Amino acid sequence: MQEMLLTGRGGEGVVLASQILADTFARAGYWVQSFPEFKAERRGAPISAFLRWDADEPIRRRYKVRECDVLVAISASPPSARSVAMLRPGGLLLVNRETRFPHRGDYRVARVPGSQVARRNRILSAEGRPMGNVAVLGAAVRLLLPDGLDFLEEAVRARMGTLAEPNVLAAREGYRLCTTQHTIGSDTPYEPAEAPPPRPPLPPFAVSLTDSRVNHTGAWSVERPVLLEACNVCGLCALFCPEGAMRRVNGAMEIDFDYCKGCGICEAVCPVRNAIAMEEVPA
Amino acid sequence: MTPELPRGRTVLTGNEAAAVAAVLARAQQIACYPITPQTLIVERLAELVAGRDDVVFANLDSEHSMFGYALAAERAGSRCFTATSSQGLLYSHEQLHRASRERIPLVAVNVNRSIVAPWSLEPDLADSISQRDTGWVQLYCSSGQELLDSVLCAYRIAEEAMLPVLVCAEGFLISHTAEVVDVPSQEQVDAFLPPFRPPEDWLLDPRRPRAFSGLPEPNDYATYQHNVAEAHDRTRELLAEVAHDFAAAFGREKVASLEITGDRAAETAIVTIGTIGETARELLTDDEPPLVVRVHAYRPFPADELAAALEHVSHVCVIDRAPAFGAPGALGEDVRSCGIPATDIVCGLGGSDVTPETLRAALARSRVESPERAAVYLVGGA
Ligand code: SF4
Ligand code: SF4
Repeated sequence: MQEMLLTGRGGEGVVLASQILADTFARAGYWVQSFPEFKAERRGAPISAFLRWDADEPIRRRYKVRECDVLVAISASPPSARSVAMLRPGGLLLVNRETRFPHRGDYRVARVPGSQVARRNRILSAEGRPMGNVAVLGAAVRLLLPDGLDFLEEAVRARMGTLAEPNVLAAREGYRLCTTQHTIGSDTPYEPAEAPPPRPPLPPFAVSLTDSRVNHTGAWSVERPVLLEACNVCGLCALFCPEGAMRRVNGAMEIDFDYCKGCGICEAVCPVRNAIAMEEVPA
Repeated sequence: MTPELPRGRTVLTGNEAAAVAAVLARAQQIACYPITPQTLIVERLAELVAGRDDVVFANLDSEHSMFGYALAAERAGSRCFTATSSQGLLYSHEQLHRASRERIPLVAVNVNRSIVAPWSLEPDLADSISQRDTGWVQLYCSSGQELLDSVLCAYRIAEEAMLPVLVCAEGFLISHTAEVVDVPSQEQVDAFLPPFRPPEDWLLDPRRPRAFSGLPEPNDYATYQHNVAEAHDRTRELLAEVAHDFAAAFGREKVASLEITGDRAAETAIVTIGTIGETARELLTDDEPPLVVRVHAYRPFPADELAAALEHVSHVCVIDRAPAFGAPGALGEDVRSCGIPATDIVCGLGGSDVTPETLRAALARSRVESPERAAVYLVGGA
């Protein structure tokens, strides 16, 4: 049995990628198991998914993957030191990067410019970011199941509906552009994961000890509302805002961007034309 | 005009006794939804607190909302009272789990009534026994006096253990039965039961917004469940302590967990719960009298005390007043879990009368049939 950890961020299709790859292995006759790490998922938060596959036997274990043979970083940003530390000696690290992975360790490194492939094929998220997940899968299949590209294409078609065609192209490109680094040990070692700060003792009741106001949900937003000319300050949006980020102050609506998470509910409930619109958060 | 509370030796129904106890306990919020045979509790409470501006009487749209309201009001620092029966308790099931796991010291009275189908307004214990795993402390009464006393004790237990307490009393057999009840004075109750002062860390405080019961890590979730279990374990001692204080404050004995009557050297014991425990005492004058053990605190289950009480007994007959499907009855299982071999007899369902004759028949059956995996049903007016 082989075990894989896939990492990325909410919205990058990490879980879907693990399912497509499971499907690919299954089509090739393997027993598979794919599952996400269940958390309160949201866009932008770190996400993990796991994959197990075995040529001979059904997979019966039901616990999380703690060590893996393969680590696949779906995000273009480098995998966390904690994820890299989960790789077994001699394992394989596949990164979504154009440039060489600059760290050495007891693992092989392969790379694929997944985000670029996605951009070329116009596979973009709602926010316009390239979705490199399937291109990375093309590379994974080249490394782990070299005769499996057709199975990957079938799995993509089976699971991606109208988005299948560009993704099939991306899978093929990823397969083709995957390169393996042979120069292990030439550069700096990956910094060991910084020891996490000691956890504060668990509160006696399941109530946070900190004031909820320190949780600045504004950091989640990729979009934010702007108030326009026609706003008549009826206050309806403030009633619906799930963060309590809107208030009527001195005859005008005020938005607290420390807490506005960019959900767009205010815009959706506003009954007035040209009163409010969502715009991208300035970088 | 607010009516006077009854005082001293007086004749009350069980429902009235429960209502009076809630007022004496200075419940600040009363959450209500009517259901037979409990309705008279909230009706009487409505009369007793009418016109008082220190008590909120809230009519809710269902039992589910009623418990939701009471849990929130407790969290905001009010001592609350509520009452229900049968389907109403079942409808509240998810709120019951939430109450114990949120460590909400709510006191509720459940007037036991059997469960549909078919419909019946008559008592058995299936409604509350089937809630045994919701994490509530459960006390079962056998008289109106014990119901009043147990409600008062329940607030002490709940607020010291930070666990909800369900005080159970069989419908009609207690709820609608008028009998002599000694009602303590407000001063006596105030001396026994201090005002509700929950821990700061637990309290909902608008000046300090915090996340309540937010998503913890799996291991932390497990720790919180373990905390509830530990609180239950500590409650065993607390029950004895509160009963002791009660006796000192009111000059009247209070059963803590088990009521044991008869000769501990008897060959046979009857272990039961609720009013059947009173009826079973009539067997004490039989030729071969059994030891009679009435379980008052069903959760936490008084396992050690029970094992000690039954140490010299060679034959144990458990009377379960709740149906058991596909497994022995709940009380029977609990008794066996203490390492005591016992035969489980189910009777008294849907208000079927349980007389000394019924119990003698149960004892006789228990001697000839001792199935390990099922309860023996005594039905058809045995
Ligand atoms: S944005 Fe729309 S809903 Fe909000 S106050 Fe203005 S008009 Fe009303
Ligand atoms: S985008 Fe969402 S969080 Fe922000 S102000 Fe509008 S409703 Fe509130």
